[in-house]
Amino acid sequence: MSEEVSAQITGGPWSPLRIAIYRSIWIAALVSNVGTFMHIVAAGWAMTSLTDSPTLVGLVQTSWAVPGFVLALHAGAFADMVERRRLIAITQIAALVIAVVLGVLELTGNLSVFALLMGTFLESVALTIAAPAFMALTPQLVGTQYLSQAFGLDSVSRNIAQSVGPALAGLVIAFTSPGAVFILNAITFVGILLVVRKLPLVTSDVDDSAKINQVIKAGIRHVFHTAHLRNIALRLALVFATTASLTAVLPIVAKESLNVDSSGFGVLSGALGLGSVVAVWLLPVFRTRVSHEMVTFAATCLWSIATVGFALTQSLLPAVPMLLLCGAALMVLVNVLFTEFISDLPQ
Amino acid sequence: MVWLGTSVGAFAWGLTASSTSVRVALIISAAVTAGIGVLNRVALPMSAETN
Repeated sequence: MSEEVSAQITGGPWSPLRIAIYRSIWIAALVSNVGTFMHIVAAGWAMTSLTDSPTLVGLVQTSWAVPGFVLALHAGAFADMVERRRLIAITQIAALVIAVVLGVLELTGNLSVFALLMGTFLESVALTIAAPAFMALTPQLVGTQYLSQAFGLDSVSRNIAQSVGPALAGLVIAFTSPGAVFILNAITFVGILLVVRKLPLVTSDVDDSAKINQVIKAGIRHVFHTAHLRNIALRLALVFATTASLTAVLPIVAKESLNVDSSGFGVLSGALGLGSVVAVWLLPVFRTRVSHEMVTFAATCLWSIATVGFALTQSLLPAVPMLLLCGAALMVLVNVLFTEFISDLPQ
Repeated sequence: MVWLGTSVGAFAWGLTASSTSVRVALIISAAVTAGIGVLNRVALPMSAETN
C-alpha cells in the first residue's frame, strides 16, 4: 500500500475519495457511466428512426445487456491473464472508437439497424471485459481498510449515472440528435484513459487469493447457497425482467402513440431520469420509517399503477408525471434490493 | 441476474408489443410486475431471519 494510503484517516462512506488516485478513477468512471446510460437511451430513439418494430427497439437493450451475463466469468478470467491497466486502456479505446463510429453513422444518416445493434453489443462487450479489472484494482488503490466503503461508492456512482444519464440524454436529444449523444459518450471514455496512465502497474502474475475469476466464482457460489441472498438475486432478475418493458418500448410509445418528436422524447426520458434523482434524495427518509420489505412492495405497486397510467395517456403532458413516478419507483426498488444484497455479502 | 433479467425482459416485451400493441404490452407488464411484487413477499423473503 502506498504511503499516501496509509496516511489516510479512517472515516465515513466517502473516505476512499481522500485518496487522490482513487478519487480520479471514481470521477472518471462516474462520467463514463453517465455516458453509458445516455447511450442506451439515445440508441433506443435512433432505432425508431430506422424501424417501427417494437421487437427491434427492445433488442437495443438486449444487445446491451447480453454481454453482462454471458461474459462475466470469462471477463474475470481475462483480467487475471493480462496486465489490468493495459486491459482497461484497450477496452476503453475500443468503446470510444465504437461510440465515435455510431455517432458519425447517425449524424451522416448512414446508421443501419444491424450497425446500431452490433455497435451497442460490442461497446457493452468492451465495458464488460473491463469491469472485473476495475474491481480488482480497487483493493490496490484504497487498501483493505477502505474496501467496503469503496465498493459502496461504486454503487453510488451507478445510482447517480442511472438517474442523471437518461435525463441528460433526453436534454441532448431534445436539442440535437442521438448521434450527438454517441459522440458525447465517446468523450466520456477519455477521462478514464487519462487516469489509467497514473494507475499502478499490476502484473498478471497474482496469487490465487487475488485472482478475480476465483473471487467472482466464490461470490456466485455463496449467493446461491445462502437463501436470502439467492432470494434477493432472483428478485433483482424478476424486477429487471418485468420493468424492462417501459424503457424497451418508450421510444415507440413516444413516436407512435404520443406522436412526439425528438424533443418530446427528450422530455419523456428526462422525466424518467428526474424521477430517479428525486427518489435517491427521498429514499433515506422512507428507509428510516418503513421496513425494506414494505418499501419494495409499495414501489412495485407504484411502478405498476404509473405504468398503466402512462400506457393510457394520449399526449405528452399527462405522460410526464407518470414517468416521473415510474422512474422514482424503479430507483427505490433497485436501490433497496442492491443495498440489501451488498450489505449481506461477506467482506 | 440484473443483466439476465434485462436482456430477456427487453426482448420479451418488444415481442409482446409487436404481437399486440405497445399499450397492451405495458399494461400486461404492469400486471405481471404487481403480481411478482405479491409473490416476492410470500415466496422470496429478503430477511435472513425468515429463512
